Amino acid sequence: MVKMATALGRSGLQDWLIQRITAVILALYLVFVLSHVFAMNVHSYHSWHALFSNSWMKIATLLALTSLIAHAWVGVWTITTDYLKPLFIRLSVQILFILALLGYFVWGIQIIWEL
Amino acid sequence: MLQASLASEAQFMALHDKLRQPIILGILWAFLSAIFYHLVAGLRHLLLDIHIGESKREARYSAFATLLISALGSLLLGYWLW
Repeated sequence: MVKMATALGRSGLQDWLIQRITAVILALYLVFVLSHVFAMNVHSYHSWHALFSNSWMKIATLLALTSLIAHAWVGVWTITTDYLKPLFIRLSVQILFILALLGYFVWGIQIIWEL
Repeated sequence: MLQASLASEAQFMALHDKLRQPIILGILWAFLSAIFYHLVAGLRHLLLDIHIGESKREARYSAFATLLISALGSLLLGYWLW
């Protein structure tokens, strides 16, 4: 088995499982947040702020954010491994994406933390 | 957007106004449509993973249904945004 340094998991099967689990988490979170946005008055800052002030919502949001990072990592790795053949270009793109994703992760934690 | 929407009421309203600009609204609609299509197609793949709809006829049907639901979703999103 070929080991890939920029893959997220230890094996392709682990990546596959991570992608599926995070997909389910993201689907549930997306449906929940969208249903809230559709249901409530979107002009209201206070109901929006109150929603994200709940501890369970912060945990759910961070769980969804973590899932998004892992899901995107696996997806970008798969696509770049398929379509970017020159090693230097592929590695550069993968590292840039990973750094960006980790940056979003820290930024997201900061936003939730400050509430 | 999440940061601005939660920072303060003034920033929330400023973001709200910015998102009403036609070009920004169009970009937002395109993004939401893409996410919705990804969601529907992803759910189809999850069903295939648990061996639902694996025959050729069913797979063709669900592929067509994915495109149809996504197109309808895009229209509804557009109706909701404008």
